[in-house]
Amino acid sequence: MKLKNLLRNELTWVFVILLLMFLIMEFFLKPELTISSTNCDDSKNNNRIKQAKITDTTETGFSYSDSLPCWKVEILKDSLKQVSDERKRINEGGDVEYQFSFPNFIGTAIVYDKREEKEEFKLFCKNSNEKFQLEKKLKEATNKDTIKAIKNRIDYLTATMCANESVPYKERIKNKSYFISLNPYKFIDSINYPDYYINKRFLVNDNKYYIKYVIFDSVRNKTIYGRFAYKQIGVKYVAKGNNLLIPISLKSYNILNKLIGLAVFLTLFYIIYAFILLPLKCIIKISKGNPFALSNIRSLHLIAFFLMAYPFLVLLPKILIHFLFRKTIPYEFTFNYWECFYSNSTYLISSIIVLFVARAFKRGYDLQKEQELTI
Amino acid sequence: MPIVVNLDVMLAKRKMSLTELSNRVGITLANMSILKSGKAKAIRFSTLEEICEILSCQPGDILEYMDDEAYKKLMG
Repeated sequence: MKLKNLLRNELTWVFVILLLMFLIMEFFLKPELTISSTNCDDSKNNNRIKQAKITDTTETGFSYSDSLPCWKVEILKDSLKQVSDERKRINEGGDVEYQFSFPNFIGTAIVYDKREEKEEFKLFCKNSNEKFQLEKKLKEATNKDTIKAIKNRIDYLTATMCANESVPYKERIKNKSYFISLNPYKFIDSINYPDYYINKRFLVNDNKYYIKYVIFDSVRNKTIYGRFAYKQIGVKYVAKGNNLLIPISLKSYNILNKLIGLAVFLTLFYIIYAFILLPLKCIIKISKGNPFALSNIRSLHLIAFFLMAYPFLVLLPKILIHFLFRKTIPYEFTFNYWECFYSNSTYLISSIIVLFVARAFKRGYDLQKEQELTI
Repeated sequence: MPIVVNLDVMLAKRKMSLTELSNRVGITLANMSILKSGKAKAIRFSTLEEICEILSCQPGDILEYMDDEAYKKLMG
C-alpha cells in the first residue's frame, strides 16, 4: 500500500528519472579516454622509463643563412610569420559561417575562403575611388577623345561594381563546403603517457583533416623514442566555440537547414507555451479569486513537466546525434554529458519547486471541496 | 462513505417538500439536494439541529450507518 502511494507521487518519478539518467551516463555514455598501448613496443617497461625523445620527421622546416643581408632576413622572417599565422588560422578552424544553429547544440555551417572576399572588397574600394577621381576629371576635360575614354572607363568600372554587387560573394563562389556543426565538443589534446603530456593537434592540409599524434616505437637504454604521425579524420574542428563540423552534401545541408528551422520554431512555441502562456493563465485565474481550481493544478503540473523535460530534450538529441555519428567522430572529440546536464539543472530544480506548489494547490483544492460539501 | 441520509424518507413521512424544508432551515435548495443525494462530505451540528427540529425527529432518523456491502447494494 505504501509502495503504491509512493509510486503515485510525482516526486518519486523525478528521483527515479534522475537516478536512471545518472546510471545511463555513468555506465554507458562515459567517453573512452583510454589510449591503447599497442603503439609502444615495450609497454611493460613504461613505469621504469624516465626519459622520452620524440623526433619530428613529418614536418619540414628551413632556416636562413647568417650571410644574408639584414633586410632580406627581415622579409623572410615576415613571410615565414605570415605563413605560420595563416596555417595556425586554418588549423584553428579558418573561415566558418554558421547558418542556422541552436546555441550549444546543432547547426549548419558553410566554409569558404573569405580572403578572396576581402580582396574583392579592396578592389571595390579601389574601383569606386578611381570612378570618383575620373568623374572629377570628366568635369574639367575639354578634349572629345579624352571625354570618351573617361566615359568608357567609368562605364566599365560601374558595370564591374554592379556585377559584383548584385549577387553576394558567398553565393557566387563555387568552392564551398557544407557542414553540420555540433557544439560544444572538446578536443582532448593531451594524453598522460605515463609521465609526459603529449600534445595532439588538429591540422588541415589540402582540405583534408588530420590529427597529429605521437607514436612511440622504440625503447633504448631506458629511453622511449617516438615520432610524430598523422591520422586522417572525417571531421573539422573549430577551436573557437568548440564546434565540430561534419561534412555533408548540399542536398543534406538544405534539408537539415529546413529541419533545424522547424525545430527552432517548435522550441520557440514550446518555450512560449510552457514558460509564458501557462503561468499567465494561472495568474489570471488566481487574480479572479479562484486559486484552487483544477485547471490551475493541471497547468502547474504541465509547467513542472515541461521544465523537467527541457534538460532531457536538450540532452537526448545530443546523445542520439553523437550515437549516429559515432563512427565519424574520433574519440579525441568528446562532449561532457554531465556538464550539459548540469548547465540545465536550474530547470530541474525549478520543476521540483513547481511540483511542490502544485501539491499545495491540490491540498487547497481538496480542502475547498470539503468546505463546499459541508452543509 | 457508508453513511446513508434518509432525509427523503422523513420528508415523505412529514409530507413536506424539499423546497419548504430548505426555506425553513435557511439553506439553499442546491445544498439541501446535495445532502439528500448523499454527496455531502459533512454536516454541521447546527444544520442537523434545525432539520431535526423542523421534522420533529432524532438525528438517527435522518442518518444511518450501513456496512460496505449493503451500501454498495443500495447505491448500485
